[in-house]
Amino acid sequence: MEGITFHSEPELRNPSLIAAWPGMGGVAIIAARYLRDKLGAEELATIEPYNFFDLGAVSVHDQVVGEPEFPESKFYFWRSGGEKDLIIFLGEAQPVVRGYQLANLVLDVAQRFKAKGVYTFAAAPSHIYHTSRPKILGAATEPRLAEELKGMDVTPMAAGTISGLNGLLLGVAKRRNMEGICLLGEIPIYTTPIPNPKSSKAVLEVLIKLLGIELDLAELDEWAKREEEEMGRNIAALRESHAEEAKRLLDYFDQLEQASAEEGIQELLELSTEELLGDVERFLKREREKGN
Amino acid sequence: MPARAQLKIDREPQLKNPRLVLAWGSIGDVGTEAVAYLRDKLGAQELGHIEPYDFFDPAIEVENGVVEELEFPESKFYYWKNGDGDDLILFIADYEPQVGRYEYASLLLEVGQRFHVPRIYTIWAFPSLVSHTAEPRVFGVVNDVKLVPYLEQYPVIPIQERNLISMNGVVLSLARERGFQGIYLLSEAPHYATGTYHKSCRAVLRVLTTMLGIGIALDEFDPLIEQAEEEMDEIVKKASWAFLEDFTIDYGDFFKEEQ
Repeated sequence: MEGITFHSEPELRNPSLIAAWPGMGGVAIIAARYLRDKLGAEELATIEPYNFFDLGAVSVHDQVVGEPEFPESKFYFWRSGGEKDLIIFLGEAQPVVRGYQLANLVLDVAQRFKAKGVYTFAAAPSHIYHTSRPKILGAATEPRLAEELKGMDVTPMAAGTISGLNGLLLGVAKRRNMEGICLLGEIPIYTTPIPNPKSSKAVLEVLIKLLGIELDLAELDEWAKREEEEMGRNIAALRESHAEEAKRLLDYFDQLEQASAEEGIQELLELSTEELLGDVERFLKREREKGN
Repeated sequence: MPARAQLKIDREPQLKNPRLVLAWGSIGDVGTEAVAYLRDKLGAQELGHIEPYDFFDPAIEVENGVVEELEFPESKFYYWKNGDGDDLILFIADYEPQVGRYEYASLLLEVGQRFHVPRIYTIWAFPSLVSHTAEPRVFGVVNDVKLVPYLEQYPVIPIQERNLISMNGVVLSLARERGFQGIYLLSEAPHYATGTYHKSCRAVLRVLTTMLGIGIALDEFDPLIEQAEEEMDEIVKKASWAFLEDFTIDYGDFFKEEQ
């Protein structure tokens, strides 16, 4: 296969593909990395980066320039010991160009090992507080699969777009008549640039049910707790330092905290999403940076 | 991946001095609809297309939990044989490429080279403060100083100083590098225009067809323009009343109280 280096040629049984690229809250990539690490998945193949990425900076050590560095696009495999093995693909960065071709290469490899199902993850930013339990939305390549997801506490995504490769891969899978599911974990709209292991855990909970495998998710819980505490500290610090200036943002947090998880909040005070994100950038980001 | 693989030419017609006319999506779909009108009126035939995969990465759409089929924008070539006169190649693209403008422009110019195109025309429109009741102006830019007097023969306003950010400028500049003459005609459309703005299509086609020496009737635009004008009049009237009610005092009531 052109543009792909294979590190091993294992015999895999009915494998499913799980693929992830970085995106909002790192929901997808954190979940897929955790899965790879916890299962101890082994290296399978690497996609050459040259068609999809541009060279960035080159580091210097002791006056000597280092090797050119490209983001990795790498496959791993895991033998379950049972009937269903896994292929896990991790893209270190979203491709700069030719995402459609990258998605096709990823599926070429999956189909070479006769994979039928494809799973991806993504984030669904919404008006929830960072301490509440994220809902899981689902998008599938076929109505039958979307219907099956309902039984797993997954809400079908009513309408919208999934941008980036976590979405595009599913569109390409559909073109190839492969079955595909994207699980989207809710994340608070004010935390999109920071990791959200809580949402990653929530999508993994659904995935392991779908695949029928066991996985210890405790480490994600611990990480989620740390992130949650830090966010709590940042909001408290903001309340201390800028209570008046940041009033409408703080009011928004109060409202989210009081809203029940099911209902969410109906109206955003008088705040538009743009204004909200502007306030987050102005106040909350500053608290975060101070804390680091 | 070689860019050339992305150019799909399905036929090899013998064309005589074909002028190449290019259009991308813009406000009021002016360029694309104008060239599509030309294509339909002349009965131009399909020639080929540019594969979209190097240039577009669409976001996927979801409806009721189900992923929709992937849709890529189209970029298609047509040709028309003009009896004893000079032939035409038309190019209509839904959108400008998201990335890879240089490669994309090179593909267009490769078509130019393959069919020995002497001159390239690109058609576009920009949003302006022009009213829908006024006749839209047509502006022009050329890529060769020798073409300036040529442009002056037509009712086209020359653009003196401007940064051209659309693909049109990129293509014209590369075209000069590769030995093609190029003319860029851009019309204006009211910034509040939605959907296809036929008045600008007609305005730009009047100039283009004269330049190409092709006599086609443009009267099919007339009823569409009339209808759109009536609709826009209505919208403007409503907006003016809403403005009056929101931002002025009704002095009738004011005086009543005084009495």
